[in-house]
Formats: sequence, structure tokens, C-alpha cells
Amino acid sequence: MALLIIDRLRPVSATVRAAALLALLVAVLLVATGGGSLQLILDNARQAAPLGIIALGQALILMMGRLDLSVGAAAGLANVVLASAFAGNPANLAPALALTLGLGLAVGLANGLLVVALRIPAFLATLATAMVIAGGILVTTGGSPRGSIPASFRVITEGWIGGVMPWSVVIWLIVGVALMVFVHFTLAGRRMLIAGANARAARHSGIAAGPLVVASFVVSALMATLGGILLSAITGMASIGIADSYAVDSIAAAVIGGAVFSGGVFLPAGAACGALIIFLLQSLLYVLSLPPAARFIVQGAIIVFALALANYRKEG
Amino acid sequence: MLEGSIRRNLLMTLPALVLVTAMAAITAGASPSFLGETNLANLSSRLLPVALATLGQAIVLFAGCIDLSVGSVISLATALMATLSVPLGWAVVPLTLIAGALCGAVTAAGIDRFRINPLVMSLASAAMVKGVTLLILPSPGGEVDYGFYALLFESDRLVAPPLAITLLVYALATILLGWSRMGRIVYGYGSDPRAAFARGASPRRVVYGVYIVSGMLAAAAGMVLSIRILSGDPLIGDAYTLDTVSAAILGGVALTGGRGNVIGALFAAAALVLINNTFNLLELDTNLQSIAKGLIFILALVFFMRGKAGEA
Amino acid sequence: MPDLLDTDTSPLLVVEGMSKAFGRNSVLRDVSFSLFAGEVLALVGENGAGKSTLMNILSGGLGHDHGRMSLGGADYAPTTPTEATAAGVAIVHQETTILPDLTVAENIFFGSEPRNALGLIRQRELHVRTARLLADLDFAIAPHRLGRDLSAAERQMVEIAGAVSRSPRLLILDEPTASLSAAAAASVLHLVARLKATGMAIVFISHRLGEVIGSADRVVVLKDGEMTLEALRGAFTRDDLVQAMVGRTLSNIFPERPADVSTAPRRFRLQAAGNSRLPPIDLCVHRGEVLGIAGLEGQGQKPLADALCGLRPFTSGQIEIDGKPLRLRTPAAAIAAGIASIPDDRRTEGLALTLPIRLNLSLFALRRGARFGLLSVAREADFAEAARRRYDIKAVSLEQPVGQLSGGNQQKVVFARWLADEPRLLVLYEPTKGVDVETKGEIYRLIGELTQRGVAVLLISGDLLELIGLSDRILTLYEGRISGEIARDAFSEEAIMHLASGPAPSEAVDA
Repeated sequence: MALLIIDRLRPVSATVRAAALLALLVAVLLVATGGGSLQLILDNARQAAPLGIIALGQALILMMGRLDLSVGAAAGLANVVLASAFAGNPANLAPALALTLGLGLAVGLANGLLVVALRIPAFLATLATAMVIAGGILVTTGGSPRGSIPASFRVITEGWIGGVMPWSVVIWLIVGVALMVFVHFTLAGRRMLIAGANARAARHSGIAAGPLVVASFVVSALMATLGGILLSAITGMASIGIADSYAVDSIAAAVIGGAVFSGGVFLPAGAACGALIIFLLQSLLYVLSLPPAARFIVQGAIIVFALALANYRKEG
Repeated sequence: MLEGSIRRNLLMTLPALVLVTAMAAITAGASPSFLGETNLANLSSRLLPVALATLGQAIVLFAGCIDLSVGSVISLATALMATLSVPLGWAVVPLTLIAGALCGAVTAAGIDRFRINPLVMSLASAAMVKGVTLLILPSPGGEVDYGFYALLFESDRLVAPPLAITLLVYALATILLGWSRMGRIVYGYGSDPRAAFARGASPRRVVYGVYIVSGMLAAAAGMVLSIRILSGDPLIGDAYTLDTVSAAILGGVALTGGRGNVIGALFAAAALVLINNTFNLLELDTNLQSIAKGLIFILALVFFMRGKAGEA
Repeated sequence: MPDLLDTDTSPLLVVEGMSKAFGRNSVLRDVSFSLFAGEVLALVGENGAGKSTLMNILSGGLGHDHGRMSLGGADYAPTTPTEATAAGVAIVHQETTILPDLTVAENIFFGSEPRNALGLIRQRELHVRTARLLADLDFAIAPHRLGRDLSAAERQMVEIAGAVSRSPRLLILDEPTASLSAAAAASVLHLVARLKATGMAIVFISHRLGEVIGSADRVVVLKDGEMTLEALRGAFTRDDLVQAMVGRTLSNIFPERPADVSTAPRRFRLQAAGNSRLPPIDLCVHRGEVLGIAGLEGQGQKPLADALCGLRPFTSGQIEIDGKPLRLRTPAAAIAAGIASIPDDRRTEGLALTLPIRLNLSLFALRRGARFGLLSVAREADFAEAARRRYDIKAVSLEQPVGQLSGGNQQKVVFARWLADEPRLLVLYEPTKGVDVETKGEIYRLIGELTQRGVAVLLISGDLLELIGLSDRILTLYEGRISGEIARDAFSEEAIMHLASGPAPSEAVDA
């Protein structure tokens, strides 16, 4: 049965496949919750935006044939820093954002340089930075972070434009379109794509992959930071470890959306569908009142399923 | 005896030997109580779980793969012990080991059957195992039969079960990896999987073999841990994953496979335990430990990756 | 032990109607031959003719679609290399299977190590036995050396030693001499003669026709997967072999060369240029000239090609293009200077296989079409379409991943990309490796056209026929240095092999 479904899905492009899966899931969810509306779906998308944006960065890293396991920690860092810099006062907007994004930039640069200049495998380098960040947060906050996000700022996730479109979805869309334009319609993006698909061939053709890899880690860290900022707006406060699961969730989202570990593929729409699927699955588990443990099992199983499907497609 | 690649692999353990000696000297200098028999016995009982899990990681690395599910399997084992050791008694031991083996087999199946990258597959099984663990034991607690503790940790002499088990397991692993055909095939496969396949090595057996062994060793590590704290903790293992990779690399095991010796991994595991011990003795913030470990990990990677780049 | 059944009259190996296809691509069609114990069979053919496929089927690395085989009278259909080994068939692949982190001895005995009563490997005995085996074969390699430290020739010898140590009935050698110097090749051929005398049957693949004529009892020629010649010793000539391999006489496939290009202006010159991997080298290429670089495998071809395209640049000496000094620090600098270089391994260095043909084609052309860093999609599509027509790239769509194309069409994409701007110097490194004969002809014709327009070509190749057919002048490399120079009227396989096997005292180098 499973094989039959895989076989049917085989010739379809990865994005379409992810979109189909998403539609199915939405249908199931609507039935399970006893009917719904576009509003409900958009509200889910609103809450999925942090993961969606982080998954876009992860998809870019995967395009470069690398992996970023520090996005969860970077998003958590953004959450703690933003909340304490804001301290609930809207007047602190500029310094709070500057500080948060600046730290994100630093994390990305650190990752990129560890990978490029010191030639450490990306997943280990980012695992190590994740650990350092997590430790740093605990040491500086003593385990109980302070501060809060002012209500005026929380509009970016809680507000709806004209009551029909959540701001966070708009932000997500803008970021996704921007990345897609960058990769597919600019010279620098094209070089990145080729360097990700085959770094040696790129080098032979006069494209130095190193700076491009650093750039991709910076983008990924900034996406994680932005995701962390949106997450903060949703929760309104700082918490420890709140974003940890984003590292694996973002990989799962990108992979469902057609990203491959060998690099050279960038499908932002696919990654967006992937993020929605992950979020909705978690909602579904909640609706079915399964224990929170189930989400980990689903998280792992979905990665295996998506990759097994992709590899089956390659071989078939 | 020590001819050929075995000799070279032993030479790779020297930096770790230097490291652990230096750490021991520093700790002994900083704190006179370090050399007391009680502290040493305490250290060796802390070393045992790290050493067991690291051994599994090293074996997986020899085959050119990596196992990021070690931590989750450790947690699973503590959960099983905490829930089943009282009703089942001794039967919980083989049961937990089988559970660990199953976890390894699942990872191996993903790699072998579905051709999923080992790193990602082990990450995926880590998530699944974590989920199962949280189903069994949603929060720290449970109870581990005191009989296990009495057997393993009651003695505060240096030559006690923890140290004996560590040395015995490592001696066995050293012999099997260095002087059996099985071990030779693992090294050969890690050295160049294609070439090893062309020479008759079965990738399936190697992949299943190393991940099952790693799963069982991680389960054993989790059992020891739960016996020491007399309870289970569904998240206790998380920190161990990176520790095992860190120890293996510090011990001279090549990330690219085919090189290194488990003895080096043991030295490095001991060094990590000493670092923890030093933090405790100096009464430093335990959160600094995770920063320190991250930095040590990066340094280890830089140091050993450089060496490799020079060789190639 | 010789088989007491009538070994003299029935063949050891019979191959009948062997066929194999990969998808719709048929690589072997109805091949039949037989081989007796104590015989040497030479299997000859161009790259892609199906030799390796046949070898892999024989040694259990690959299944077949139709046909049957028998070995020593029994049906033989190995499904794994291990089964083939058990049946007494040993193969030495051209791409060696040396395990880099094990020693020579551990490599030779991998999987069949001598063990003690406890089942543990006897490390000392392993190394002692290897020393004896290698001495017996006259191979001067220490058994304790690590696989990764061996040269290409030494790897080949260790592979042969490993295969021989299992005393197979049938020994298959896939281009055993390709990486060997003349002396080492002679010792391998001598070994083949010795093994043959013990009753072993040997199949060897070779590109060197002299070798084939000298040592084969039987020859089978493959072309495009079909057997075009089977003959016994003495019943074939060099011309027969060439005819059967290429399917036409060589003069038709190579472009006509002008009488003399040495009077044309000098286009490119190296003076004492070298780096850590390449001793200082002097050479020059004239406008419209094809300078061939010959040599055994691993004599500095790769470092030279890498330096010329800026990947691992020259660190000493002078470089000149059209009389102007030049620095070649990076690939980008080489491209800017008008040096185009076609890498030898297009799959790892030339193409991004998973990306569409369009993206692979337009890599350099993009730069011109871009405005403010934005790509011009329309221009890119036009360019790619024009390139497809110009080079006759056979593809369903330009959006197809380039990895789905045949080797020949992939190579056309590489050429098309690099020739988007006409280069001043074209460096070709094994340009027809793994390319079908038809595309080969097209590539040769293209090279002819480019030289007519004044492009200088540096052709690094291991294919002697190609070098002789295309070049105006040939330099031989030996241990990274130029060991000789041959003018067009003195070209011959023997002359090239002679110079390529070591320095010649009296050869002057044109600088």
C-alpha cells in the first residue's frame, strides 16, 4: 500500500508532492476538528511562521550541501535577548532589534568560519555552537530569563492585516520570495546554487565556494534569529529551550519540501509546505489528545519517510 | 602482535594519553582530595557510562558512520530501568540491551535499506527514541532496584566493578577490532566502503553490526547511569551524544572512518570526566561546563582535522 | 592441481551470447568467446566499448540480461564478487580497491587473514607471508606500508599480488599496465607469462596494441558493445585491431592538420614555471597549434592541468600569453586571461550533475547578461538554446538534469560552456574519456576548427591514438618533467612510450 502511494507520487515534482501532502493533512485536520474555515488555516500558518522562516534558512544551507544544527539555539538566543533588551518597553525597539540581529549575525559568521576556515564538518561545528549558545544563555540568565515583549511589537504575529491576513504570514512570504529571487534570479544566488551542487566544478569554473558557504550560514542564522523574534512575539516572554526542537523540525520541513543532503536544490515553496505540514501534524496530535511524546516520534518518522521517498525516487 | 595498521592506530591515541595525563596532573594540583581513593572510585563510576557509550560511538566512526542517537538510547535505557527493574528484577538487563540493539537496528535499516545519510538517520531515530522514552517515562522519576546499586557501586575501593567492567569491555573491544576478521572488515569498510565491498565485505552486515553494537553499549551506559541515580530521566542522555563524539575524536578516531583505536577514546572519555570533576571541585557554575565542552569539541575538531588535511 | 579431466580439449571459460543493457542503453550485445587454461586472452576496445561491463559480469560485480557462461565445464553465473572468488576467478580492477588505512599485507589478505586457534589474526605471519609473496613476484614493495602511501603503479602491483595469492583458475587484469612505466609493465607482462605457464587462464584488457600483439594467444575486440574481431595469435595485425576498434580508418576521424604551425606567433609560454607538486617546466604553444602532452599515468599531468587553470597555481617561473606576462593565481584569473580548461573528470569537476542543462551551459555567459547582479532569464534561455543547436546536444529538454545525458552529450555541454567566449588557449585533459566514438569525432572536428581560428590547444591525454592523430607536436612527461619532444613526422606509439618511460639524454626542449 505504502509502496503503491510512493510509486504514484514518484514522477511528481517535490514541491507539488509536499503541497499535495499538505492539502491532505489540512483536509484531515478539518474533518477532525469538525469543519473549519480559511481563517483557521491562516491562523495555523500564522503560528507556523517561525518554523517556516527557519526552515527557509535550513533549506538554503541544505542547498549548499551542509546542515545547520544551531538554528534552534540561535532562535532561542534571539528570544532571550530580545525579551531582556525590550524589557517590556516599546521605546527599546531599535536597540533590541539591533542587538538581537547583531548576535544572530555573529552566530552565523562563527558557524561559517568554523566550517570554511577551520574545515570542520558543518553538522559538528553547528552542534558545538549550539552547545556554546545554550550554555551561554544558562550562565547569563542563571536559568530564569527576564524581560518581556511589549504588546505593540507583538502585532507582528498577533495582528491581522485588515482582519484577513496575519502579519507573520506576510513576513514569511516576503522572506521566502526574497530568497527565491536571490537564488534563482541573481548572479550571486546562481553561483551559490552551482557551488552547492558541485563545489569542485564551481571552483574549476572560477567560483570560490568558501565565501558563499559563509554567506549561507549567515543567512541561516539570521533566519533563525527572525524566527526567534516571531516566536517571542507569539509567546510574549523569554523562556529557556523554547526553540530547541527547531533544529530537527527545520531539517524535516526542508526535506519534506524536496531538499536533498547532496545539495544543489532550493525549493522555498516546498520548505514552506514542509513547515506547515510539521506544524499541522503537531496540532493534529494535540487535537487527537496524544501525549506530547508522540511529536518526537512523528518528527523522526517523517524525516525517514521523506528521505526514503526521495531516495526511492532517485533510484527508480 | 602490534604490527601493521594496529601500531599506527595505537600511535593516534598518544595525544589523548597526553591530555588525560595533563588533566589528571592539573586536577591533582588544584585539589589535594583528587587522589583520594574515594574520589578515584567516584571518578571510575562516573567514567563507566561515558566509556561504554563512547566505545559504541568509536566503533560506528571506525566504519565511517556516526551515531547521534546515543543520547536518546541512554535516556530510553534509564526509563526502562526506572519502570521495569522493580517488577522484572534481573530480566530487565537483557530486555534493555535488546531495546538498545533494536534502536541501532532501526538506524541501520534506514541507512542500508533507504540509503539515508547516517548522520540524519541517526538524528531521526534519536527523535523517535526520545518520543518512545517520553511515553514510558514522561518526567524524571521511577525507581531502580537497589540490588543493582549494591552490586555495582557499593564498594568505594578503586578496584571495584565500574573500573573492572570498563577495562574488561575495552580490552575485549581492542582485541576484536584489531585482531579479528570482523574488526578488520569494519576498519576496511570505514577506510573505503566501495573498495571494501569490491573485496567482499558486506556493507549491510557492517552497518547493522556497528549500529546494533552502539545501541547496546548506549543502553548499557543508560543502565549504569540509572543505577547510579537510582531513577530514570527521559532527557538525561541528551548531553552524552556530543560527549561521545567529542571523546572519540579527541581519542584520535577519524571522523572519516578507518582510523584510530578505542584505547584513545577511553583516554579521552576519562579526560572529559576529569574536566567535569574539576568543575565540580572548583565549584564552578555547571552551565559553564557545557560552554567549555563545546569549545573543547571545536578545538578537538580543529586539531584533528588539521592533522588529516596535512596527511592528504 | 591440474584437472585430470581432458583440460586440453575443453575450454576453461565459455561465454555465449552475453548481453547487457542499462535501461534502454545497450552496452553489450551477443558477445561469445572461449578461453583455455594456460592461455592469455587480450580484450581490446575503446573506452565505452563494453570491456568493463564484460569484466564485471565475469567477476560477479554485475548481472547480465541474456547469455550464459561456463567455467571448467560447470555453469557459472556469479551474483557477487565473493561467489566469483569462490569459483576461482580473480579480478584486478583498473580502479584499484586498495584500502587506504590498511597496510599492503592487510590489503592482500583482506578477508582471508591467517588466524590462530582463537580465531585471532596472526599479524606477524600476515606480513611475513606478504613479504615472501611480493619477493616471489619480484615486486619491491614493503608489506608494512599503508595503502594510502602507495603510488598508482604500486597499488596496481599490490592488487595483482593479492589476486595471484588466491591461485585462481582465471585471472582478469583490467588495464594492468596503464599506470606502469615501461620497465614495470614489462615485469607485469613477464609475470603474466609465468602464470600462464602454470596453467592459469588470463584475460587482460589493454590499450597498448604492442602489448596485445606481443603476449596474447587470443584477442577479442569490442566496439559499441559488439564483438568485431576474435582471432588467434598470428592471425591479426595492428591494423586489423585498429579497424575493429574504431570501425574506420583513423585518417577519417581526425581533422586535417596544416603542414607547419611552428612559424605562427607564440601564443602561450611557460618558463621554469612550477609549484610544490610540479617541478619547473618550460613549454610553449603557438597560435593554431595542438601540443600533445603524453605520459604514463600520474607523471604530472594533473598538477600541470590544475596549475594551468589556476586551481593549484604555479608558484615560480614566468607565464606569458600573447607575449604579455600573466599571473594565474585563481581559476577566475585564468578564465579572464582567456584560458579555457576542460577537466578530465567531468562528473566531479566539470558539471553540476543534478542541475538542469541550461544552468550548466550558461555559467560563463551569465556574467555578460547580468544587470546589477540580476540574471537575464530570456538571454540565458537564448544562449542555452543556441548552444544546444551549435553543439548538437541531444536532450529532451534543457531543463533536464545534465546527469541524465550520455557521456558524450555531457562532454558537449562542458565544451559548450567553456567555449561561450572563444579562448586563447584551450587546455584539454583527457577530453574524450568515456565518450562514444561519434562524439569523439565531433570533438576532434571542433578542435580542428578552433585551431584554424588561431586558438592554441594543449592536449593532455593518455590515448596514444588521439595524441598522434591530433597533435602537431608531442611532449612526454616523466616524473613531472618533460622527458622528450617528438615532431609530427616522427610520431609513433613506440617513440612516445620510449620517451614516456624515462628521460632521454639528447632531447632538447623547445623554449
